Amino acid sequence: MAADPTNSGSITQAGFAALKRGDSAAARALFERSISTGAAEAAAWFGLSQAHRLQGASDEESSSLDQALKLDAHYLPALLAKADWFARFGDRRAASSYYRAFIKLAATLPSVPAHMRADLARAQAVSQRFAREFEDHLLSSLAANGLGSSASKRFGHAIELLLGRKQIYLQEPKYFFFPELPHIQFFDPRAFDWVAELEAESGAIRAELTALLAAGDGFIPYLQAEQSRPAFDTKKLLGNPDWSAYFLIKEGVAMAKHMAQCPRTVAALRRAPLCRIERRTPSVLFSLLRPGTRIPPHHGFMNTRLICHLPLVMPRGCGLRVGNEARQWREGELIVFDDTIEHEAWNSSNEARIVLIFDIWRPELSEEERRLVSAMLAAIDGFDGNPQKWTD
Amino acid sequence: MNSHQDARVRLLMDSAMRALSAGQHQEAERLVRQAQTEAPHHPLVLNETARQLLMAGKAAAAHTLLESAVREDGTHASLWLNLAAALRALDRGDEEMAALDKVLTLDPRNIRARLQTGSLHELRGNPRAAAMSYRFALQLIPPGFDPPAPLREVVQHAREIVAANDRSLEAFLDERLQDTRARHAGETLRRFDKCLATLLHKDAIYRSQPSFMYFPQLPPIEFHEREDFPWLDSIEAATADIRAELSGVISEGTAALEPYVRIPEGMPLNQWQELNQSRRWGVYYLWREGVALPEHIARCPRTAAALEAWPRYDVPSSGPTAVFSILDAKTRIPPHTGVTNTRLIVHLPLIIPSGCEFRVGAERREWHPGRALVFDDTFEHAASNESDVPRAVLILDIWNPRLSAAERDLVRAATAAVSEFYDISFFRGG
Repeated sequence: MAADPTNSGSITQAGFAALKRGDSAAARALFERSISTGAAEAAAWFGLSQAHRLQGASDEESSSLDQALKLDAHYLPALLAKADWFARFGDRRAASSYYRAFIKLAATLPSVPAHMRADLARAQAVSQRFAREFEDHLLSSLAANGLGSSASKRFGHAIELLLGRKQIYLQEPKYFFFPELPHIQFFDPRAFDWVAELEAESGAIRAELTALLAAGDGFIPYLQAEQSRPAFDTKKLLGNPDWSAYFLIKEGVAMAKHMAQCPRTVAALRRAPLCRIERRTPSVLFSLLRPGTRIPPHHGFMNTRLICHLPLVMPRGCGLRVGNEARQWREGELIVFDDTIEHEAWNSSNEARIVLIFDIWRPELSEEERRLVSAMLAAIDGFDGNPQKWTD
Repeated sequence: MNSHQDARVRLLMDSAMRALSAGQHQEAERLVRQAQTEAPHHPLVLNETARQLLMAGKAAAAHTLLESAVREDGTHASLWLNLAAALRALDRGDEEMAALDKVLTLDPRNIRARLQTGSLHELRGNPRAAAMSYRFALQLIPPGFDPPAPLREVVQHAREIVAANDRSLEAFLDERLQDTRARHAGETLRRFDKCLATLLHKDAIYRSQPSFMYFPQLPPIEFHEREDFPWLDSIEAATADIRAELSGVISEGTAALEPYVRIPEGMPLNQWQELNQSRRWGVYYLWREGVALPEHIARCPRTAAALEAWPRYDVPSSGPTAVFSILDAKTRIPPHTGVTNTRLIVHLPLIIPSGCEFRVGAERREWHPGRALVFDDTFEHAASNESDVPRAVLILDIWNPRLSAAERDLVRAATAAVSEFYDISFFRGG
């Protein structure tokens, strides 16, 4: 093919034709000529790198690829060639990062061109192999040091994050953020001295719940529509009895009649440090999730409290995910979690799931911090006149 | 109306909208007129006719039309929104609010309706409710999105009202919290004050974002309390000696220093364009990523002696590091984040001209010679020296004190293994 001597594009084309013939010397000359016009694109530098590769000139190959990527950081053939280059020289980390960049960019294409499919599959395979080798190396050298990650649950979690097996979830309260509190998904209930006593009362609490269910009233849809506020993430649970509640205390207000129905439950909560904020918290309720219902992922309102679940009626196939950890509820075993970390719950069984829910202060908050938070939120409600509802 | 006619009107009106957005005004008008002739009572046609009446200042006529349109079919948010506009022109506030509520029930993310609700609250002397509606509206605008011209002014106004409301809420809270604060006078309320600053939208929330190893469940704290690190006493006491030794090092200019930021060829420079390979941020290492530099240590014997008290971040191939950091006059270190929250960074300020700034997350602290700061560099942080002379601090790394001995041991082994695997350190400057 005759190349237009002034058009870098057509010279580059001719260069690729020469590469295809295996004539690396002619290809190299053409790509260099294309580049010397000053108007060359990334493709010319990429072509030159391939000519260098055929001629065994590794350094020149690499620097030509750098030039190509300088002109167009998203030029896929150069990203892949650079990854292969590092892989050839045993630099797995650099190779991995280029393979990953290639895979990520290719994924943004509306469709992967046919000629690139094999490359993409190869990049994915190599990238996965490196990840596996990395994991094996890390875990075996920890083991060789006598350091099973079981020595610290937290450290085990850190390693899973480092290996990319899990992702980081953080507190994202919808209304109010208190700083410097550690991001902990599930708390160890044994760290609270009032828990054993409450769990021991599970049977009595369940008996009171059973009587309520037999009487059949007092349960209302957990989510109530609110005209004055945007209703964004309700996902069909607004006003829907699939998620129902029987409140003993609702947003800080004692439901005297309901409490009178459940004296043992009320007594069992005596020592729990309920989060008390005027017109806001605590809420103490039996929460009923009907079969097949899923509460979609969402975030709570403030991170100065924790949510406690005492599972009472727990068919198989129910679960709760908080951040990167999913747990099964077990009847009579309290679960304490931070609801400002993304969480969701589901009941895939054929029966209703019922837990007793209440909220407690975060243990890290000092007495004075608790008083200030309460005073502040009460003051804001005074300012707004019509406080924003928090039930979600 | 039959479904065929309905489809026909929708097609005509859709085409009109497309013609309009393509700048073909006459074609758009022709299509609308066609629809008006074929189906004068179709809700979309009524809506368009009413819109034209509104534009021409004929609010009462528009109102009559729209009333009948929503009676016919109350499921179009745009009909209710135009009705609200007519009611605004007619100064019928209660009905306008009801129409806006209808829009929002049908379409909770309708920005125009949220903005108009805010403005109605304002008109009715309710600035706090107005601010709340405006805030919802502003939250619906994606970051970086520039609203179209007619909305721009309204959005700007909404921003001003929201900001003014935050200020008046702040004054209100100051007063309401006075008694509670007084009851706890003398207690440490720093954390609560930070919480208040984010609530009032004065400060953004910053996160710990390590580039290498994130250790979960550690309290994410920008600046740690100085009194939690009593061993700093003796190092602070040696400030004059340390400064004298540093002055010796830099007495012949910056030749003894090396650039702190050295990004390998082929890696993206990002925010380091200016400081890469530059002695404008120069450093002089005593220990570098776990390796002692005997010549440098020999040149600074009193510093080395003072650092006997330093509990080091002893991680093979990564720490400890002790380094003099000299930031040239009129130089800024751009915002960046560190490598891992398993360690903390200590600054011992040595030479601090006025005009220096240091920020970690949302918090700014001043450097004072001889007064150490302890911070978590995995929060975005930045520093600057706007003065005419260089600034100097001694930087040390230490363990995050919340890690147990077992956890430190595991972090050491894991970091060493990863460095060995890749044969690089993750702790290089920059």
